[in-house]
Amino acid sequence: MRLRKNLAGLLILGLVYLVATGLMLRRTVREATSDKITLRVSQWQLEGGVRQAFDAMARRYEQLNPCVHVVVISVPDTIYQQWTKTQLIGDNGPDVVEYGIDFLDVARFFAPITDEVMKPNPYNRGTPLEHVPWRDTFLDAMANADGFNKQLNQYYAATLTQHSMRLIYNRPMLQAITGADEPPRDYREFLALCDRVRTYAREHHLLLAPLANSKDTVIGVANYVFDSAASGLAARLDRRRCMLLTPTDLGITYLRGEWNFNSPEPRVGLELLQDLGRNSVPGFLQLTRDSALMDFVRQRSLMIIAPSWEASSLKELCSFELGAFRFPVPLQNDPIYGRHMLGPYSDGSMATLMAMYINRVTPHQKEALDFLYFITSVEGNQIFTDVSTWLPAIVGVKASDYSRQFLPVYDGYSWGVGFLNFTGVETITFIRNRYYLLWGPTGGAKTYADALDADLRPRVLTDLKREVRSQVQNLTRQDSAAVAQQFASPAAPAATLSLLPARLEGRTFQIIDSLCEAQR
Amino acid sequence: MKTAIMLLGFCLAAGAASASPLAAGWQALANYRAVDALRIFDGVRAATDTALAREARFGHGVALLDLQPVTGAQLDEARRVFTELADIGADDAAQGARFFLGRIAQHHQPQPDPVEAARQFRRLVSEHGNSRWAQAALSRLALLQIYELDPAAPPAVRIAEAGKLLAQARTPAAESELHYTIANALFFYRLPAADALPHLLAAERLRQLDWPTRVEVLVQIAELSRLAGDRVQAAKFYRTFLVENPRDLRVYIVRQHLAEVDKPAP
Repeated sequence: MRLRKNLAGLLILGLVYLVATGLMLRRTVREATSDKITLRVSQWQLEGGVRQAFDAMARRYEQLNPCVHVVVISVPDTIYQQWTKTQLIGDNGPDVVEYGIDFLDVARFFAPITDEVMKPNPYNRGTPLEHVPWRDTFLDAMANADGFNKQLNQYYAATLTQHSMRLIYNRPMLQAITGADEPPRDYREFLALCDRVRTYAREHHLLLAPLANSKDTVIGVANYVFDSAASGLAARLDRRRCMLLTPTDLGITYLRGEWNFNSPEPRVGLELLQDLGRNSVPGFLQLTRDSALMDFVRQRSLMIIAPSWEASSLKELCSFELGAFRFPVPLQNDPIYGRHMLGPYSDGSMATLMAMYINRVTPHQKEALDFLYFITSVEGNQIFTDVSTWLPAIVGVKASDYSRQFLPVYDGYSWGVGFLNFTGVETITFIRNRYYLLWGPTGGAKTYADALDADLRPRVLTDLKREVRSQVQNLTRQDSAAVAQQFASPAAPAATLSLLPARLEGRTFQIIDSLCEAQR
Repeated sequence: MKTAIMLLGFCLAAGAASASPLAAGWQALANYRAVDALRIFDGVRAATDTALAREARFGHGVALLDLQPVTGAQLDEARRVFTELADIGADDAAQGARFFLGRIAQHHQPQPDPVEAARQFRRLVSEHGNSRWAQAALSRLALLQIYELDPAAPPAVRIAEAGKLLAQARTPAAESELHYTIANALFFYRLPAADALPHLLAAERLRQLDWPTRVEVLVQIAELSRLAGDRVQAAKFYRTFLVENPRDLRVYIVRQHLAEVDKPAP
């Protein structure tokens, strides 16, 4: 009996193996005998609408290019990095790959697109972007971590979307509580609304909080609020006079004692965050993103902190009408904090996301580049935006009526850094692991600031040391690659070597200098 | 026989149009495939054509510096190969080898040796001043002088010492890099920012800056000009920045400052 069961199991296994082999062979034979080029594109966004958007772009691209067949491979984010790297290491990676600079090894796996970015996108013919360099058709001019790789000084990726953090609110509930459905216009109105919600909940015996929140979602809005509050400090720290700070600048100036978390602007930032926590669902630091969504969907809160990529899901989940607004960080006219503020504030750094890279070893480099051109053209990105309801990355592409309220606002101050993201993994972990000192029952702005300033310095040093190691390795590898590139060229030797610019190397020396100074 | 077969294979792999049998090796190295590159270079090291053999040995040394993980033995081997090449001959391989001897001391060694790095770079500059290798070495030497060689000296003195290298710059790229390096050091050491302005203007005028550096320099010139009261120059560079970088995240602040300097003088 047992033998028969085992035999049946083996038969099923063998059958499955045969079917799988057959399917694989069929695909291989079809690819080998077809005149068409098969372009494989991988991505990890499984949120509603995105896969459909990729399919729609692929089908339209095939219409325009009948010789190319596009296969979109969607892989869950939990295994995407491992899957992609395994494929790329085995020289079997997709032709176009969604990737992130945080996954590392960009230079090893992907082809730079630097030579292409100053030429117009051919798919923009007949549009207002017809003669605009490809780079400048992106809302951020490719000035995001993946678009322009600062360490390698090369353009690498084309991006598809952008995101913002918003407070989404229950429109009928706001009407019921306040008699109006307009969201608060400034910080004082926001605090007053939160008070009103608590009073309403008490009077009506409801389990209702002003704001649904979680340990996951609070990070984005906390960064925005804190960085906005620290805008005046950032302006003072910009000693290089380039209207921009880097995480390294923050680390070096912190080590030099030019600021700390008890400086006036950071203290304001922490007080604003304390208010944010006080108006959130109690115990939110223990909650996950899904719990926060549930609190809002079940109408246990009036508002929720949500990134724009949740917006389409919320629209499907909620039975009530939604509205959205930016967190109203105080401006110069605020009666309490005004003297420390320097606004208006931009929605953080303008950075488009969802970076698509070209596999360095694909035999279809030309087609892969052409596909990138298409998906980032006015037509291609409009398809993506319409089907996914995510925000566009390309100038002139229209967001849907609903997603328009999530469009980031960039007319304002932004210094390009996150004070709470600081110098790297050591400081970020330290700062986040002590949130309880800000939002816990006995916590507060001063307690948190003191705790950070007491123990942050060694973490900054560790992060900066790690950065030096990474930059030196990068410099040495790029020396070899740049020299090799020049020797490989059949043209006459160039008059100059295209090594990484002294700007990057100088930065490494400056960090080393600061580390030595700090340890003296 | 084995070498001949390998050579034939490499020639085929490189394609008939390749100018040198080493092109495939260099291409492999440019693609971060140091193992493949080494195999190709080592196949040609014994070639009877001296120039080809020297280039192959040079390639061997460069590939060793990129073969991960880079071990102490690899570094020693690369240093030995480069020393031989640099000490015998004056060709491109010799100059490149001298450059890499400086780079090994500067960055590759577990314990960097800035004095030895500077010695190699100075020798390269004095022996082959006009070469691309020497010109690339100038800004690296400037960085050593500013940040590493004499940390006890006041920063202003170190920067002034680096400034003397400007006289050795023969290419616009080298001159531009030196000006930028000096300006950047002035900011870093909190020396009067106004002193950086002439260097930034010179670097910009040479039109050699890569795009991210140029964006930064345009803003810096505009800001320093505004602070120095040169409203016309400030406005010119704010405008250049806006035209060249309409989507930069600094556009809002630049417009604010441009409006300020565009106002009639009080």
